[in-house]
Amino acid sequence: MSENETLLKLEGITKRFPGVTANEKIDLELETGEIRCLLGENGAGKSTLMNIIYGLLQPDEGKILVKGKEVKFHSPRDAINHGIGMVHQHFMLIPTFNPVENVVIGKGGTRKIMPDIRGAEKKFVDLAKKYDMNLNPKTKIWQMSVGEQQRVEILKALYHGAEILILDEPTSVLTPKETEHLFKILRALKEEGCSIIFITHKLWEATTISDKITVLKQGKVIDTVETKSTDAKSLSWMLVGRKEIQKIEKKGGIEGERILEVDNVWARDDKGLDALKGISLEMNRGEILGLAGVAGNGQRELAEAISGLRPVTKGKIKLKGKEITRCNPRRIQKMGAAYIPEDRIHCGAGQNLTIKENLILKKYYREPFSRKGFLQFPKISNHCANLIDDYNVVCRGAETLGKQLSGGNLQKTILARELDAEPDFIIAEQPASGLDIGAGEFVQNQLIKSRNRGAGVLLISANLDEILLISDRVAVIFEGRIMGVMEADQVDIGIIGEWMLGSDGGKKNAEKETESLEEEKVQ
Amino acid sequence: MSNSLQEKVLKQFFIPLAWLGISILGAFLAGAVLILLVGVNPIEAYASLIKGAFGSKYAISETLVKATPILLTGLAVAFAYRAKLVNLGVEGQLYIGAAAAAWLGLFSFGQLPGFIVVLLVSLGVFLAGGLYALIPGFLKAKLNVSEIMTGLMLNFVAMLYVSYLVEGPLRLPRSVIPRSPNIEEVAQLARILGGNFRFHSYFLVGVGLAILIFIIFYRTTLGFQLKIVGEGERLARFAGINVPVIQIVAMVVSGGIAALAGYGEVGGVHRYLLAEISPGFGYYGLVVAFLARMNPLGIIVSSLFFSVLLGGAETMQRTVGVPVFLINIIQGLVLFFVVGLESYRRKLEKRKLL
Ligand SMILES: Nc1ncnc2c1ncn2[C@@H]1O[C@H](COP(=O)(O)OP(=O)(O)OP(=O)(O)O)[C@@H](O)[C@H]1O
Ligand SMILES: [Mg+2]
Repeated sequence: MSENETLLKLEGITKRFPGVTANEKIDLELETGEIRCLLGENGAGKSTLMNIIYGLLQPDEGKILVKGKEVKFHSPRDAINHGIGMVHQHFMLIPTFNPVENVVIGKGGTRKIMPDIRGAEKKFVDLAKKYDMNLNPKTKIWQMSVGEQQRVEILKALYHGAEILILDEPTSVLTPKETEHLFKILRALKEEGCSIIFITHKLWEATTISDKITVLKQGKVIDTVETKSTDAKSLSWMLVGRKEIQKIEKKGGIEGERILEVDNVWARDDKGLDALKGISLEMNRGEILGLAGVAGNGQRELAEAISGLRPVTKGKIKLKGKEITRCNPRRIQKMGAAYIPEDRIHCGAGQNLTIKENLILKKYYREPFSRKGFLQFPKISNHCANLIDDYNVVCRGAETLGKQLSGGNLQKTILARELDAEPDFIIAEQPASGLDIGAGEFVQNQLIKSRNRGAGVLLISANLDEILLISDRVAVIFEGRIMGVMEADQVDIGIIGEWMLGSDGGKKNAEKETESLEEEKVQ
Repeated sequence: MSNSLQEKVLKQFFIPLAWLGISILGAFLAGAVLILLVGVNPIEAYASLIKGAFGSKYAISETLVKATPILLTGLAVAFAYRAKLVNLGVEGQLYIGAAAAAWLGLFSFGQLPGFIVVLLVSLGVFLAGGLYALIPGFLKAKLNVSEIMTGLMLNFVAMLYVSYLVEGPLRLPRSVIPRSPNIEEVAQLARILGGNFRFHSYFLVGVGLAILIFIIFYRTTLGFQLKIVGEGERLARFAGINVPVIQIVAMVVSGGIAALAGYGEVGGVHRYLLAEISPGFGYYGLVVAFLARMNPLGIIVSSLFFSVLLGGAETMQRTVGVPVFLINIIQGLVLFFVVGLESYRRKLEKRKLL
């Protein structure tokens, strides 16, 4: 970091999509060994700009200079050859490969017919060791946690010689612990002279990790500031241009009837292993129950089991007092249940569907959206225009495809669909992930509003802060079991933290030991 | 709103059409080189091709006769593909449809008026094809067996079954080439241009079906569900759609439409069943559906185009001596150019030159 030379320079980058200018005359300079943070509202053009640097998109105007020389990237391969690596928000790893195979023959890898896997493995392990990432090169990707997968993506970029590493919202899928681990890696990379561009919606992350912060708004650079000379407050002012939104107060004391009962429920995950091992939960109307836990401990399976998307192998689920254990998803939806899934690419919304189609996904068959099997387009259009307005989806119109939306705006589309019908029961998995500050608060308000009118909200998140912010009670899930439940106003972070890691003082540990002993006996 | 509608029409209809035109032009230019190589003047060759396809009322009738089964099987392919199912079994379903038509057409229908009989036979044929397509559909929906493989294999079963029928139970006694007797007159399809021309009513049925399917795709909840299932099974399940049911519906309807092509051949063209009832119309159907990018209205155009190539080819051979297989090469070239230019167009689109 002795000589602060410019590694990457953008001059007047402009990128237009039909109907929107995603980037307008963007100038940016990145020095060697610098961590740069990009901030901006949903749809500000951050991902677009990064895709341009990575060669996935070509700019309409403007120049890219690497080490002072102008370059033109026709594909990511060109960018990789110039030392640029990118970790997308949605990973591009092949699930059935192990990390080394992914690095060598995965996307952006070699085109050789007989690649030297052995040598690659050694190089991979050395790299992993150097940056203190404990990764087993033999584990298949699908067996890894999200955090581990992200590390594989980073190693992949480094393996291909990245000097500039782009991370698009890397922390939106991580737990706070994993985020810290990531920051450690990034600092180590910086020491090595790597430059990093880092996109986030969380201000404290920006102020913690970066050297400089660039704020984008509607495709333009508003300002670039030294991190030292700024703080979260002035950043948020720059971002939103106004004071933070008023938080809706929780109206306490709705002694609601029971809305959800989960009784000793077992279910399997996609690999056929038990993911839920006797879950029991109870929820009342007018309550937000936060379900905390490290990602991959059965949260998704629980949400899917309740929504009717996953068969329950044992146990019972009751919604509004009626058993729904074997009901199909539509029946459960009709009973007033909404589900905001975490996986918005494959489950929540269709990439090749228009906003309109995405918005009527669950109600196309109902009047007035269809009559006698015919879709009623005037009604649908009207409805969609209202939703787009209410939920502030930044787009070019209701015909925009899912894949043309920015990450946050796709999420807003899903939220609009799920929350619009005033559901009685809502499962929300990381509902604010990828949303900018304003939209994130909007969602929280929306959930509180639903609670206040008597709905039950099951809020699932790996982020304890998000949960504590609005929950009435907090439950912790670990390896398919509920470790315990606490009232939100009496929460003991220490205990919750232990529960999340699977320990419960002495009692449960003892239980587990006898269990594993029994397992051994069985074997 | 109208602005975006115009844009949509332009984008979804005229630009693809223009590209199709360019592809075809390219294929013909490349074909011209080949024709030159066999020592024939390409302009003459193409002129005879056009003449062969359109030169007389009879030629036009024959072109449309060939277009009919291609159109119907093309529509069948597009219907299944709406749910991202590849119905490679259309050829077999056509054969089953032909067999069903021959069998039903041999019943005596008493005093029933012609159009009712035709309607009944059509219904029966549709059901037969639908049931035949139920096999790959069910295997796909319930057991996730590839509908491509089962469909393809069932083609051979159907063809052999028809051979068996015309050589055994349905054989017209003392016929030289194995064939069935003529079906009852009331069950025959009307020859619209008169008895001397084989052009029959099922071409119009095909055009009507294309419009109907277009409406189903873009205006109905069924079309919406097909599209969602095609977009992804997880998404469809999430939306509350019964995925296996929709997949089975897609295959059954597709098989039914393909079977109608068989009735067209038996009821409109030949009046009887024979072992080689189709020289691979179903496979042409796959190609034209692909060329039209699965747009039902586009399939009307692309099936006509292919039937022109097929119809004109024989004349070209007869009058200027260009072998028929050159036409097959040109058909291949069309596909080649369409695929090649399509990826080029995508690239241009990505670079924002379009
Ligand atoms: N392929 C595309 N076609 C059309 N418009 C697009 C396309 N990709 C992005 N856009 C538009 O460009 C704008 C910028 O999108 P971009 O994804 O860069 O936003 P972002 O800053 O990353 O937002 P987020 O924080 O929500 O991820 C948005 O209005 C989006 O709708
Ligand atoms: Mg983005």
